[in-house]
Formats: sequence, structure tokens, C-alpha cells
Amino acid sequence: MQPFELTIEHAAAAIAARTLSPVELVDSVLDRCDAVERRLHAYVTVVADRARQDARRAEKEIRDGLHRGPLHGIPYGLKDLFDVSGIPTTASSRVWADRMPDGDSTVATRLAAAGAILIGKTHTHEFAYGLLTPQTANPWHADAIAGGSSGGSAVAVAAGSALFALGTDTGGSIRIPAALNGMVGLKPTYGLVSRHGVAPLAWSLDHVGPIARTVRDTATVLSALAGHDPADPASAAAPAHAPAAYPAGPRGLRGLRVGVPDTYYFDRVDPQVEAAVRETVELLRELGAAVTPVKLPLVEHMEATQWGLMAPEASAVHEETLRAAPHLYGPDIRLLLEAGSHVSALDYLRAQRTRSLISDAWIRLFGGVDVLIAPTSPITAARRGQETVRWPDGVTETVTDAYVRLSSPANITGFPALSLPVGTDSAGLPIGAQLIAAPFSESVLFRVGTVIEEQRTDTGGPADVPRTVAIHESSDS
Amino acid sequence: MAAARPYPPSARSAPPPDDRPGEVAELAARLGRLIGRLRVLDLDGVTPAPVFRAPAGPAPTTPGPLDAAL
Repeated sequence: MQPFELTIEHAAAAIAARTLSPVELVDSVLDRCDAVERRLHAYVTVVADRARQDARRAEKEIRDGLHRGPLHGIPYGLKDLFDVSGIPTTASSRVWADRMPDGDSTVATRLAAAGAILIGKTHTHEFAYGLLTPQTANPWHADAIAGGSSGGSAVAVAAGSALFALGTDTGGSIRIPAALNGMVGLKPTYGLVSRHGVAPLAWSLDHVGPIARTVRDTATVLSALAGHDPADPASAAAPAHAPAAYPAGPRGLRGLRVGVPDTYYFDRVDPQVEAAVRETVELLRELGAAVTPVKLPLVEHMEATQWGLMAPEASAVHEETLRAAPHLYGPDIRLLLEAGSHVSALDYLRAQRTRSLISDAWIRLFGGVDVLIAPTSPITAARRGQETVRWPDGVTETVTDAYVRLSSPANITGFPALSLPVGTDSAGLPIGAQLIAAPFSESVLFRVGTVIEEQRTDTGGPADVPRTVAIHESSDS
Repeated sequence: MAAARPYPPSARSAPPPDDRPGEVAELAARLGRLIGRLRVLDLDGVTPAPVFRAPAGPAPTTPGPLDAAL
């Protein structure tokens, strides 16, 4: 096994035992980058010299007895919306083609303090306003999309060119690419992780979170990220302990109350995706969980609420720039931003008030269950160029609408949601299941997710990229 | 959130004329119809909740012992 194939957990153990140096690990990841980047295009910018310098510093610190914890010497990627002083933040947009930040995002500062080593900035769908990340390829199948908007982050982790990466999630942009690339992705509780120094898409829906290869690794990264930040007006003064009904301790899943939505999350879902998630539900039942069907309230208003919030907020974020240089935006983003500026204040406030109704109903729902389980997305990775999905009942929806349908409720409510791999379809494309818990109950997600993960033998490793065909090769060579 | 907004664009050339006003109007109308579906809800007495609000608690901190939860 090459160092780049290690999970954070195993790499950290090897570094702590001095059987692996951060220099070896970073060199291995950078070599992997060289080997796969021409095919995958996960990164906008790779900072190899800086990474090697940081690795040598980490190696010296550890040799001198200063060990910063489980992320010390661990290489990672940052979605190219996060500011790091001295490295361009482009948002994968011509609008920010040469923008150089003069400060660090709070999460970059926290990861630096934890000793993590930045490999580079990863591609996003332009300004995170989309779920495709067309620049980037899926490492599992040459003809499949990476998903987005944190597509570069998910692909970097899946390919082994980072051990973890950060993304943002406004309507599913961490969980969807994590699911489509066989990775674990967490959208934490709203306000738990600072967004200071991160380009916004829609302030009241934006979350920052980790993508990693295992649930344990995801928990390790969240521990380094979480905490109050006065620089982010939405940063939460969180309770010191998760208000979880599910008791902590090594008791398997006995006592866990699992809710399975009987509508919405299983409507218009690919049969292979549904089968994999329902098999996971049965697994939880066999392991002692009490599984009950639940009827989710107000689900028929999710799509309207998501768009009623996201469209005008995004248009407000970009108002000045859109007026000054609309031609610098990609045509899909420009169209969304211009159309979003026509949403009335009354409609926006109606969406806000509907969110109140939905959140209150969901809080009551979680009085009866500890965790919901559902598909992360109704389909696996779509084919490149595929625009729509047609369902057996005759309904046709866009690929983007299909993806956002199951992920947006956790953005609207701000509840934490974890996507983890639970199988593959007949084409070998990963299937993701989504666990949703009450606010600040990330520990419940991690416990349940770890139990699921421990029952599988096909997770935790990188994709076998060399077997895939290079979709960009002809344009690069 | 400082440094978290689109900065002035790097190239300040004059924008070309918009040749897609019909597309924008069409999408705006679709958005209006979609969001307009919320008008069926009885929102009397419901105040906006811009974000989820954490309950008042002690000093800001991390969300409990995440690693211990494993």
C-alpha cells in the first residue's frame, strides 16, 4: 500500500509511531497528483513547493516532540472558494481570474494550527452555483460527472491526491459529490463551522464541511474545524454537548431510533439506489436499532423554499459584479443570477417564513427518532452531457433538480447530514446513503455511520483511477 | 465575513449587450411560479427564521466529544 492510499486514521498512527514521515506522505500524494491530475482535473492550483516545505517543518516538529494531533502532517485540499493568503482564490470563475486574498479563511487557519498540509485548491462549479463541476472527471467512470459543487474536493480525496478536503454545501454540494465519488461527506449543523473567508453562495443556506474516505476521518477533521468564530455572523454558540437522545457508549445500535421516510426521499429514486439504502436500513435493524417509518412534514414545499431562499440571496451576493461585468460569468450562472434578481422581497420572506414552519416540524419529528436514513441522491453519477432524468411515472426533471431534491431539506433546516457509501450500481458507480440528525447531533451521525462502515469491505480506499479513460486527455495532449 | 464577497472583476471591459433577455424572463417567470406555490400556506403569525438558531448555551465551544462518540 502506498502512503497516499492511507486513511487519516492510519496515516496519523504511522506518523505518531514514526514509521511514516509527513515528507514521505506528502511526496506520495504529490506523486499521485502528477499521475492522475491530467485525467481528473480535481485541482485549480497545486502548491507543491509550499506543501513540501510544510511537510519538512511538520517532520521536524514531530521529531522535536511537538505533535499537534491527528492531522499533523496530513495532506488536504481546499475548495477554491476558501481564502489562503498568497494563493489565488478563483471560485473557478473568470470573474476572479487573478484574485489574490490577503488573509486566511478561519478554517484554513484552524487546519494550519492542527498541522495539516495544504496540497492545493480544488475545482468548484463556478461560485458553487451548480452541481456538476464540469471541469472535473469522476475517477470511477470516465463518462460520469464528478458532481458538485465541491466536485474537485471529492475527486481529490477519491483519487488519493488528498487524504481529506473541505467543501461547501448550500443545497447538497458536499454530500452529492461525496456520494457520486464513493466518499464520506458531512454537512454540519448550520453555524457549527465558520465560513469567514469563504466565498458565499447564499448566506442562510451555506455550510462548510469535510469530505474524507471514512466516517472516522470525517469526525477527526470536524473536530479541528468546529467552534465559534465571531468573524462569521452566523457562527453558533453551540451547546457544549450534543443534545442526542441516543446514548453514547460501545453498545452497538441498541436503543437507536431510526426513522425511514415513507414519502419524498424514496419517491422517484433509481431502483438500485433504493435497494442499497433499504439494505442498509435492514442492517441497522439487525444490529439492534428500532426502525420506524416516518412521514416528513411539508416536503411538498422544499423545492420552492430552497429556490425562494437561494436565488435571491445569490443574486444579492453578486449584484455589483453582475452589473459591472456580466460577461465574465459562465452562461448558466449568469442566467441564474439575473433571474434570481427578479424574486420579490415578499416571496423571499415567504420562503423564510416557510422555513420556520419546516424547521419547527422537523424539531418535533426528531423528538421521536434519533436519525433519519435516506438516499443522498436519487441517481448515481449522471453521464457527462446528460441534462434530464425521466422517471417511470412520466415525470422528467433536470439532473440538477434531481440531485438537489433530496439534499436541500438539511440546508433549509440547518440540520446535520452525513453521506456515506453503501454500495455501487451495475455500472460500478458509487451509491450514497444520507443520515440526518437533530441540530448539533453530529456524534449520532458518526456513531451510526461508523457502524455501517464497519460492516462493509468496499469503503475507505481510493478509486482505481488508472483503469479509467482520460476524458480530457485529447484536449491536454 | 470579510473577504467573502465577489470582488470587483479582474477585467473591467465594457459588458457586451445581453442577447438573452428572453431566457432571463422565462427563468424568472418559472422561479416566480415555483416560489409562488408557497402562497397556499397559512403563514399567519409565522415569523421569518433566517437560519437555524442554536439554543442559548454556555461559552461557545465545539459540539461535544466527537471522537469519543466513535
